[in-house]
Amino acid sequence: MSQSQPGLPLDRPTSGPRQSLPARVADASYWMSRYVERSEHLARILLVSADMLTGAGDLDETLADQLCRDVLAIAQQSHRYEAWHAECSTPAEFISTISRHLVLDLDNPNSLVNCITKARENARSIRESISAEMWEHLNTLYWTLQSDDAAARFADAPQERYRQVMTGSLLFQGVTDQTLDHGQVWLFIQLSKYLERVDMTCRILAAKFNTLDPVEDAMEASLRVLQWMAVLRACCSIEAFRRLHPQEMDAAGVAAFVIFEPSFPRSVLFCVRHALQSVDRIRTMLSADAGRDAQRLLGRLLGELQYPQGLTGQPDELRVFLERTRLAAATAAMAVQDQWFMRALDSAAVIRPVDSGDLQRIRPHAH
Amino acid sequence: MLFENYQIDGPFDEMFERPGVPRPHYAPIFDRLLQQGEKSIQQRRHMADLCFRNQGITFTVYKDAQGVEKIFPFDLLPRIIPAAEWQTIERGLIQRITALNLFCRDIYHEQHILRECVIDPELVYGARMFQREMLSVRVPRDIYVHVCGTDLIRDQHGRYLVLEDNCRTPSGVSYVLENRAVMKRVFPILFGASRVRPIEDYPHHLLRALQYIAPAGRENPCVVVLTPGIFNAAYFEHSFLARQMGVELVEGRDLLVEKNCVYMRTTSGLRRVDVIYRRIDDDFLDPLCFRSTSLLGVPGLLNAYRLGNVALANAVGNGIADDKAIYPWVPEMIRFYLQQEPILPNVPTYVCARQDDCQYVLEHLDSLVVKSTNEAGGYGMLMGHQADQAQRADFARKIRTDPRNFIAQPVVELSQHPSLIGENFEGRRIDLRPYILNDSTIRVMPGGLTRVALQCGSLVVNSSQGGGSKDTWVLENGAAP
Repeated sequence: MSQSQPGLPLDRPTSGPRQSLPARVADASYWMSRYVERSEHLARILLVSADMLTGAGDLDETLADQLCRDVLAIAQQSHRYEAWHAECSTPAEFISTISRHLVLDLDNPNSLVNCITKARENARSIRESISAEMWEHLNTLYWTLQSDDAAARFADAPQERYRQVMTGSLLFQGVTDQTLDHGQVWLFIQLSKYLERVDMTCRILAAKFNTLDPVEDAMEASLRVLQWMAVLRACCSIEAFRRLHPQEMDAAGVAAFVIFEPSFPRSVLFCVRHALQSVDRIRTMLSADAGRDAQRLLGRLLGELQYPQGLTGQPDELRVFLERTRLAAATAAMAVQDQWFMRALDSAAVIRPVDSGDLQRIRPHAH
Repeated sequence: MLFENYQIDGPFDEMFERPGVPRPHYAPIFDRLLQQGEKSIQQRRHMADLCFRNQGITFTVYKDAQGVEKIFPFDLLPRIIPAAEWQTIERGLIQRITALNLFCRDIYHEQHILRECVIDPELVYGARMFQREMLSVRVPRDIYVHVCGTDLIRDQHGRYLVLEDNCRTPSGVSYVLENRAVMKRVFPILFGASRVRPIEDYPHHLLRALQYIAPAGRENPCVVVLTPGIFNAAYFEHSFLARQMGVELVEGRDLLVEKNCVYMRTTSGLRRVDVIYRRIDDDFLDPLCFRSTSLLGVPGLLNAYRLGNVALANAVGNGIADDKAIYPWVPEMIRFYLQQEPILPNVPTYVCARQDDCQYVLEHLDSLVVKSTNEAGGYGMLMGHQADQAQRADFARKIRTDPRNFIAQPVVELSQHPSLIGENFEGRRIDLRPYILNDSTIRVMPGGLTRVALQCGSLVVNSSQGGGSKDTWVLENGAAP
């Protein structure tokens, strides 16, 4: 008699993404991704600023000074201007002093080295929940910045280090996409990446549009184009912008592109939409009430970005709009933290709006 | 050249019979090493170092408040154990863990071994790791020692001796697995010469062993690894094992006990936990029962455990089985419980709790190794022949104040094995820690952690004292000698 073959029951249902995740793991994956994203933006703004200053040797001194002020404003270190400026005699020297502090300074919680260190520390605390490839990539990046001769190598070729961090961050997200199951950990990584990108992009635009009023003079105008290009580069958008807008480059076009372009992953609108999608999917996965505030806040922000009102072209208007966007994103980020990470699972966490003072407090999150 | 100045006039040498003549089971890789030449070996060492750094295969040394992450030094040349030799070790270890497990069960229940005066009850009750809370508690499937790491050394004649048993939370198995992975990556050519038994299925069997003790009726039991946290010396290992088994790694603050069940705080609320592979000592497990100041544990955990609502591996109270003052009686335990003669002998040991022994120890401090009974990692130890007068006087005072806390052993010359030191191979002392899993069957991982005392002449192999490790190969039956 022939026996029936046992066979491989491949048609059984798959398990689907894992349902429950320790809240601490969700928290650490969120901050890991946020710090990686933060380091990428910081590296890029430093690279672009250093390029402008070294390229244009005859750059107007007030303009050069303004550039340095912008970098400090974006990195939230404006209060250090006087102290650092006193150390230097030329603008080029000044920007390299600023860079050194923003890259290597261990006292600055958001210095490049600290961002990567904290990203790696968070990763180290959840190695069992991320892929080995993600860990190894981040750990290798950390060691290239941490080795004994790191300071000397930075002084030798700062641009190389910036590129290393930028590429490192992009590769990290790529490795994450392709080696981690797209479950909760992955979704929290996406969420924090997009929230951080909204924050950084708004800050870069706010700093730049502060100074770039329209000009009449032709000489000035050509300089302006260089500056618009720098803004686009700082937002990693220049190639995409050129491709989609081959004709003109002006203030309104650049701002509109970086804020509203729906198809480009660096635009504020795109980031908010994807942050919202992550929240939606996490909520569906958990089938719980938590996360409703984050969903509502991001949903309303997305509405404002899709149907903006009262932007007639005044720089002040734009600044207010950007600040409002940042605040809304920061409030949503706090809601995410309170409801998913704080582990106050039995007591409904109260969400309150964030004001500018709070932002100062939240940003240097020593996690 | 690689082996030109290699000295083998000291202790038992693992690799060489006579100068330049390797033992048969080392002959194939000896030839391949000579073919490779110095430059290639140095390159591979560099590759191995990078692998360890980039993959973050580290342990933490407690120096300041933060602790320093260090790479466990890896020694490129593998240690090789022939199949026949391994069979004896394996049988001896299975015998030993069986007896130790029966001992734990006996001590916390009927106490036959004490009633029949095989072991002095005072020695057991006086043990710091004896847990009164565990008396008459039925542990799942009567298993106390689920994971055991037994330290073996070889004497002058190459005889394997048991130096100590680790029945609580033996660590190091992650380095065994990583050493093998790195070895395959940087030196694949050496593997071609011998048939090496695989070890990569360890996490699979560990998970099976943990699932085996889940409370009855719990389908798809939730298994977690409990770690003291990122600053613990063995944090890498905790995280490694959780990842390899595909289970959650949790800290005490991630867990809570409600109505005598253990839950994990998750993004979707509380989730019941069935089995905890805990890498926290008994003392820190539950502040309600043990050390009340501990923030690492989970309040109420022990009650949940005693009621059988959660399983712990290893069991609570195992410290009596690997207490160094009880160790000398393990051969007696084997005779008592199994009616067998021990296959692996102990190292002769003087127990200071016995007056005669204590007197002898105090008179011969300069030739003995004195160990504190409850310390590990090479701490609290006196190497009599290397210590100075002041250190010996200090230990004599400590022994007189608290004799129960000390044992002494003659200096055993650990066997030596070639290690790559700088450009050449030099002899360094080694030991061996095989890992044993105990569920429905007892399974000994073929190989284990070979630790190396990298300092010349040193007999202390602990990683916290500057030790390194090497890959350990157990050859297949019927493989070249």
